[in-house]
Amino acid sequence: MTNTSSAQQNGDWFSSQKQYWDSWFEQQRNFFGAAAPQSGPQAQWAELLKTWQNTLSGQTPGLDGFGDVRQFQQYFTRAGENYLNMMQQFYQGTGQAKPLPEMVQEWVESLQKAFAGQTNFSAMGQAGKDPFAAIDPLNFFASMPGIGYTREKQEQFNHLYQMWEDYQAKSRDYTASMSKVGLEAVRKFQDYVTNPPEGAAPLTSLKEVYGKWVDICEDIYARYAMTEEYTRIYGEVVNALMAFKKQQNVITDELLDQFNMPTRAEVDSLHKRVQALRGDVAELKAALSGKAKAAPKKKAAPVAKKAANKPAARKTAKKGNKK
Amino acid sequence: MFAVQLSPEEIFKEVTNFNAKLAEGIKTLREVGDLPSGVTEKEAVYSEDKLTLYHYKNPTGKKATNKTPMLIAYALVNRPYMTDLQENRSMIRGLLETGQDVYLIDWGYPDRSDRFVTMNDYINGYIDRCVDVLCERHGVSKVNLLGICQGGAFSLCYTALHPDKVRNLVTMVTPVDFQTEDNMLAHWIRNIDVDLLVDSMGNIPGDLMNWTFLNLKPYRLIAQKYIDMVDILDNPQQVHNFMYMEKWIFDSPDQAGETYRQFVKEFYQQNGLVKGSVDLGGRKVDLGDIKCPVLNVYAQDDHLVPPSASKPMKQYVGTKDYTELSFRGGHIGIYVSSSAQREVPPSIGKWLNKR
Repeated sequence: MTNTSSAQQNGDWFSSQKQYWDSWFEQQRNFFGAAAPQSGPQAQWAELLKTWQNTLSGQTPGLDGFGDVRQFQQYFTRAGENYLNMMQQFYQGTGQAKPLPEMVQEWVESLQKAFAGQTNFSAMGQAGKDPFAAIDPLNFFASMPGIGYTREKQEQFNHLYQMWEDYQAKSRDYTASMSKVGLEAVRKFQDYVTNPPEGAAPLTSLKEVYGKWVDICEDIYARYAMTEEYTRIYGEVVNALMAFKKQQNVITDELLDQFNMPTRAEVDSLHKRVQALRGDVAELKAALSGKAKAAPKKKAAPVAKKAANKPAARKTAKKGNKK
Repeated sequence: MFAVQLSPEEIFKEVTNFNAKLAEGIKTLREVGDLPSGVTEKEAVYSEDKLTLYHYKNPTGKKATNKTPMLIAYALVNRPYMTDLQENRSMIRGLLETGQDVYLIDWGYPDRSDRFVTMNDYINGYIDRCVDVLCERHGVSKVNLLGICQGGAFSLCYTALHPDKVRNLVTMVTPVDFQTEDNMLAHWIRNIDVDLLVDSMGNIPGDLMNWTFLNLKPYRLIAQKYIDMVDILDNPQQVHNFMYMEKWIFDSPDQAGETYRQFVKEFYQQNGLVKGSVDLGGRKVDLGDIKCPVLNVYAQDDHLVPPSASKPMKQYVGTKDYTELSFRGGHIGIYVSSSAQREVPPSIGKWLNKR
């Protein structure tokens, strides 16, 4: 169960965070789906895929307005679809008597190309030459100061647009950083396939091939996700998105106010007052029932200092209690 | 040597098997039906705002032998029925079997009217009032408190601030040191402007939390997990188990904005629980004030709360009766795996019954 409000609020967050994964799925699908079968037993395969999709994804009734829930279901579908397409590719390859190393190499090269493309695209933005800036008239007007009696509103919208642009730039940085992870994973997978470590068990099923690919991706991602660089980029993209949303809220409130509707700020203010009143009521009730809380302890926080001296002393005191 | 060694016959066979399981699986999935949120009979004994306090009934009809009632405080993230997922995967049942009288706080689904509910409200308000309800019902002055994950952190705070009301404290997969090197969530949150996040979003959507958790192991949790699922699609019981878990994972309440703000800033970003700087209603939380017996249960392969985040507890609590229970499993497996059913609730029950 998910609150409707959060489902509606979430669109931008999802679109930013799933961007990389969308492209990851898409690259594999484009490659494996390129030679989609159209007739014979392979058409049945395609039909099965379609059934799988319809059963498990967007056809579910009652999900209108819950786009985020639907997106999660689409991931379910995509995960299955990509793997099926990979199997299909190998299956077809066997019919064409294509050597196995060649099939693996084709897959690796396609992934490499796609990830490299994403990195290059972002590098253009980083060099100060945003590819969209020259062709986007809004970008030009957004940097103009507002004039006349609507000056404030013009400034608000300009501000909103600039924040959107900033978020887009940070989002591209994020995608590019994740593409580097993809490229490194491809390189490592290629190394593993052509020069497996001594004693490594051979991959004797398609599932094992896929599993190894996932293991390598996960390993490289986990190491990168703990770096200062990732922490910085992740923080920047989230903060940029939130700055945009905050400005969006300001403008939405102004529009609501024009239509004589209650604004979010007003409702929040009411909630805040109610919450404060509830606290006051609870304290009064406690006082009336003789359970008034003691005055707050005014003491410093000696814990860190104490803890620093503590382990050695306490170890001796605790005897056999610790495992 | 080339690492991939497949023959056309093997590929054909694997593809055919996969295809058959998939076709069969679609039928199985359609037959899953509604999944209950918790399986053990329970009675609502107290409610306030979105909160409901439940009292569990022992399915065997046996009465509790431990005279001190147990209160379970679950995390605000996800739903507490993880502790009572299925008949054969229920920590609650395991605890009832050891003679505990089990109560559980269900926090409900906060909405925008709860945005300004603070950590002080949760800990010194809701938890405290639930403890009072138990004490009154049982004619006792103290309860056994069991906190899970974030609920464990809350329970530590509560016990430090209300030592006269907690007889024994059990924490499960509970972080104490939020800034250990292997804590991925702590790394990610470091540069997030939490004030901006809460001011922009109000409450923090459960889906956002879910997406963050999925991104801890994205390739495995977003893709591979569902490929593996095909292997069990011809087994209705296993599909049922899978879907129970799937339902729970994505059943995520929104987080009250002010509580989230304080929890992230004071616990994650400032590491306030070990520094003694967490402020609740004008009082600083000093873990050294916890003098009652403490059992700290952690999972060795926990990727959300690594053991390194949990084990430092022994350096900070003031008790002389501190015990650790290490479980070989992950953050979720500690509630639902078959080995957890055998090991964890009986160990907790035994530990409590001795005290």
